[in-house]
Amino acid sequence: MNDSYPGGSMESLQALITRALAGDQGAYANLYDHYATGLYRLAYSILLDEQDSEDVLQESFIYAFRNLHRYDPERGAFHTWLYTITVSRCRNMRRRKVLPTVELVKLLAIGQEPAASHRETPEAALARLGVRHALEHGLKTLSPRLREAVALRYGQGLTYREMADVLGCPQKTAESRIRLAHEALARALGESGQTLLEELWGF
Amino acid sequence: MRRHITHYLAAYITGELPPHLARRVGQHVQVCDSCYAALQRERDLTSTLQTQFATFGVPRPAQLARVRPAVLMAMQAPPAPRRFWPGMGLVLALSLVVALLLPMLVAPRLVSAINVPDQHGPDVLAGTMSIPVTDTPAQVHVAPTAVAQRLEEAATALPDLVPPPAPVAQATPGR
Repeated sequence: MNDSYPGGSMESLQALITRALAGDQGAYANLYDHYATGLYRLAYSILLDEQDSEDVLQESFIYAFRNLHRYDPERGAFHTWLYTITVSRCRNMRRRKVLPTVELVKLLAIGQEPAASHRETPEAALARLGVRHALEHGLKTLSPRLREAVALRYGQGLTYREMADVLGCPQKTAESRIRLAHEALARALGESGQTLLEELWGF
Repeated sequence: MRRHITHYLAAYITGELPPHLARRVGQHVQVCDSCYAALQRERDLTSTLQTQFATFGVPRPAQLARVRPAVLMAMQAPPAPRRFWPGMGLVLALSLVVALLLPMLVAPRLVSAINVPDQHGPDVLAGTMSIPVTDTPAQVHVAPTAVAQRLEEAATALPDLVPPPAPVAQATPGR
């Protein structure tokens, strides 16, 4: 299975892993810099808590680096292996503590917002925020397993086959979880979400 | 098991259905209005999710910078060695149990061995002891009656071996 790595091919990733296995701190740093954003986004999409996501990010990388010798390229892509570890850590975190209620204001911190397009009108920006509000509300209504599926599918862009590998379930189960998540999200978005969507696409 | 066509819509949109299924779904939505509407709703939702998730949960640089040193520092130091062998706790627990039970198992035998009843004591005691009294002790110990008999024999033989003391002269009174 191929693995994407900027500025190089599968061989360069393997070389990086080999250097890391030899104790090269620079290789560890490169791997962290490349994969940290994706792993954090995955953790945050599942846990919806910044501090917990940072903790999971740290635990995931330390576990992955210490068990780097166990990674087998024949069994799957490196990022899929990292996602498997992160999802597992998220489940552990969820067991350790009750999922907190997150205020939308906190979720929509200014620093997290992508820079608005210069062409975007204030109305369009408002509509986009409205959809985001509705989406986050919908995510919170999902069960943890469905949220994992949605985070992997849309947050990380995995195929159903890759999702099945990460979640440790049959591909049909992964497909079913996405379908159920769609139904739940459609219900959660409801009329207001539909209106907002129409406004968004209208702009 | 046959599944409803709506189960395949999400995979159909992203082109992840096997060719024969994709062909069937495509043919069906062209003739079924409700399934066509469901496909449009699924497309809208998928598009929205893809758009929104593209920027969802993006960390601030400060967050990644906060975690980075901790990860790299952990890789500089070797993993902390285990202080205990994994089975050490079990071994210690078993040792403690054995240490507590051993005296309880051994002590009664020791007490019984020490309190072997006197062969010449009352018969009722012999019946109450845990270890049955056998004739073996009689073979080891010399019975008091035999000792007395041999003493008597020695006493009777004594006059033959030792000369009798000389008679003491009688003092003459009035000398």
